[in-house]
Amino acid sequence: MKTTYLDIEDRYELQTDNEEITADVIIGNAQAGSYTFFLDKESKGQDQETLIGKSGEIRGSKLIVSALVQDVRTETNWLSITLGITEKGSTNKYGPYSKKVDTDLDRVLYTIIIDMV
Amino acid sequence: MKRVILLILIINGSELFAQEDEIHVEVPGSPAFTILDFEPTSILRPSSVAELKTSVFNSFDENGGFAPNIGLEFSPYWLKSRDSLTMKEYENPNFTQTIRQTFQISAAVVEDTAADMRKMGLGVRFQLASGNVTDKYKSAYKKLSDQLKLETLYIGSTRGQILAGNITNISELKAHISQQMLNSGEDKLKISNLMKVLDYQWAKHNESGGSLLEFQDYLMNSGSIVSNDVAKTYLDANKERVGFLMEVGLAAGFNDLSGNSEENSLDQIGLWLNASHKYESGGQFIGSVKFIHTNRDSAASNIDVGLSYVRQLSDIALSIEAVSRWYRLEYSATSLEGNEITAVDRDFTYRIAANATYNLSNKFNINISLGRGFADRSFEASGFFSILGVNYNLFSKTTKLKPS
Repeated sequence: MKTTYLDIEDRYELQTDNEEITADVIIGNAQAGSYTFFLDKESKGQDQETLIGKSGEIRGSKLIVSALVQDVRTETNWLSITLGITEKGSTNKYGPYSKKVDTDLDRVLYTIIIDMV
Repeated sequence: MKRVILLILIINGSELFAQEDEIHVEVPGSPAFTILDFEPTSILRPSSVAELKTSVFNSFDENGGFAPNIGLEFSPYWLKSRDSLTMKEYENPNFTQTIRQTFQISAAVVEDTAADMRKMGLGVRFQLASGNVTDKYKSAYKKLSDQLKLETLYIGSTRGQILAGNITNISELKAHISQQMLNSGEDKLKISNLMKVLDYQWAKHNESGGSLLEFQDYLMNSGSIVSNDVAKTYLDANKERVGFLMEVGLAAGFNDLSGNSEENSLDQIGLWLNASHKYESGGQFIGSVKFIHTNRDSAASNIDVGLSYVRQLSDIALSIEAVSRWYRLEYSATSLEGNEITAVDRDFTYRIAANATYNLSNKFNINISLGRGFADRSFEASGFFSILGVNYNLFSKTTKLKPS
């Protein structure tokens, strides 16, 4: 059981000044996993669609997403996640970020840092 | 004297028990290999489109024909990453998704040296209904989810904080972890103890000049905070399903792929259908159909239709089964007048049996079967007690009556 890492940096251009921004992660390939959302150092939520904050208030901050996914399927060794950031009903997708691991029970820790600009 | 009788019973039982067929018909794991009655020495199992292309390329010999004694097994659906397939959809698939995620293709080529020809088998197997997850699975999944949740929050999230520049030293790393543990309602004593462990591990790590990211990697892979066994328990629980399950297997065997013979023909076809209802308590009703048609000098068709009930108790496995067999043989013959005719033999027989296996220990069990076996062409009369056996099993793993 080995953990490997996939680090991604990207940016999100906020379209509004006073709309709620939410984020969610889809873990694909029917694998098990967990994910957290931090806005800079502040924990915002885990394992569900999470309110990150109002668009005007989070401009200039970093959204830090950590997703730990484990290969629990004997049918495949693919692991993948897709991050979605929703603003005013419109969802911007990041990914899917896919990685094939060597053996069952191996894990990938995805770290996605999004500059909210 | 009693010991002698017991010994005779055991020896006779072993021979009689050999008459018994399998408890019930199961869909073979690789129908293509089963239809050829052959297990290839080399089985290729590609897990991506690129690997499949390589496997197909490797299946040819230097003359451009299919290389013998090679098997191929793959699931088309799983050849690529399924990025949108969630755990929930996989666990509770609709009808089409059930077929998609269980569909397997198998193929094999075998050299028949006696007939100087190569035979090829092609087969598929898939489920039409895959039942539901078990309570044991739900419990194992919850433990795994809880573990991943804590590990992601406590250790996984530190990587993002390090990469973002929010954690620059061990004190900040410890403060981050202890804050997340506190937010999750962890006991303060537990947090304090863990911090001492981190201090000790960091001191060792720092001696060798390791960075914070490397230390975070060490924590992820060391299993010092969470157990590695939870995922293994989940994998085991994941193999079993309850409720209504239905599985189908189809296969065809072809003669002579070498081009040396004019008999380029369909040799055999097979169909397996298994429907069962399995209860959480361990009982299972199983209905099964097996059809095999052989097209050689004579054309023979066999259909087995069976119904069985299997019950696994703590140390005893019980089963009762009834299997009907229809048999049809068509062959060329010469009539009394000297004319060439096609003769047809038809037959029907059945088998009824009850089996019990008592596990005395992990390495010793007693198996008792009682019933009526199939009559065949060389054994037309078959009494009710044509199957009666006591079988013992020493120095092998515990025998269980296998559910599908």
